[in-house]
Amino acid sequence: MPKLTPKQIAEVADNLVSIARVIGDYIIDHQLSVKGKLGNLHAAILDEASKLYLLSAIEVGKEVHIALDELGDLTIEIQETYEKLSQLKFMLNMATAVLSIGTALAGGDLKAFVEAIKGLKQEINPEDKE
Amino acid sequence: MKARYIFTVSLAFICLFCGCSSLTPIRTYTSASQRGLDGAEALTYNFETNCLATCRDHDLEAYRLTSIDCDCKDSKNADSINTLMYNAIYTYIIALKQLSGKDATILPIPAFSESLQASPLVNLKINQKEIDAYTTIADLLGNAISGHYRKNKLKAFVSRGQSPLNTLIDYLQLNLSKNLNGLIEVRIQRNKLMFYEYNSDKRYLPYQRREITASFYKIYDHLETEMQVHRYFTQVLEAIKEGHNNLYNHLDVWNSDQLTLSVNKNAATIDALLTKMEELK
Repeated sequence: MPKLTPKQIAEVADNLVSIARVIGDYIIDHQLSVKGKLGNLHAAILDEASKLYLLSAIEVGKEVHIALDELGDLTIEIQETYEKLSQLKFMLNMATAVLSIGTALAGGDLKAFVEAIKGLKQEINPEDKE
Repeated sequence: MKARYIFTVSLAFICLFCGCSSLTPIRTYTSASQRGLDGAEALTYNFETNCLATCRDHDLEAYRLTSIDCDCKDSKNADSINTLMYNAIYTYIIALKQLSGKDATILPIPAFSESLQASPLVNLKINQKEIDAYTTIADLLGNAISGHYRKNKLKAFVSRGQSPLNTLIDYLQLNLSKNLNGLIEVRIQRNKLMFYEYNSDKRYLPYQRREITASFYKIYDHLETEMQVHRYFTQVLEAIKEGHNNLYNHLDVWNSDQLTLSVNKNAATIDALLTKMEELK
């Protein structure tokens, strides 16, 4: 028998609660004793539903391991990128590269201007080969 | 005149190479998502709370004043899993927010004007007005190119974050709206029958039965409120997921009006849900 997913376990528990609700309403509507067979059945079904809800919640832990690792690693990478942008050395290199652009612009040298732009892009992203 | 010409050419250059990109949608998305996730402060009823309250219900049912051992180990585990998922989602959103923030690329070029004048490469006689124009261009270029870099990085991050974020949000929603609310519903059903039993006892006088009934409705209202808080927060999570899906589905057109509209709508949905959660307190 294939193992149930956490969602399927929760659905089974939902169905049990629906049955228990009907039994409970029947007991009240017909003024039956809670200590009788139906009352015991009501309690037993709710106990089982509780166990299943908790089981589903714990099974979730086994299902999210990969997603937790992936998102955790990605978050670290994003933070590192942010830190890189904030680093003084990086910023100074960027500023120097920007200065080269300004100088080329002022000199009206289009070739130097294009080279300076490439230099700035390279400084921002060394992996960018374009 | 020359300054204006270079300024225009440079702006065209910026747009050509950097695509006149906008990070506004992701800023709006991350800010609204953070506000939404901060709404978790309202979630005071967790698995352990439910476990302890259920033990108390059993004590009450058995007229027991000395509580039996209440084993809530599994409930604590379930809470830990929820915390792990929540923290992973939260730190991811904050990291995206930081990287897309306006303060991420302020270039320190205060000495730019002096450098321009001092540069041996500059063989033109330039006036202050032109220097100001060049400085503006350099600022624009620096921020646009680094903005372009950030935009590309953010697109790659959003793309990679799409699947794990959706998985974690789906499971956090399952644990809150199905599993935890299911357990609360179990408590309601148990209490309902327990109070019915008290009320059926003919030894109680009518006014005592009314008090018993009032006690049940007090518990019922409290538990219903807790369930409603979980439902609203689940909807907040859904809005965060939808917003991320929007960014992911519009990776090529992050500056489109359609995306801006859907992200703004998404943020409004989150704020409206937070207001509803606040009203329940």
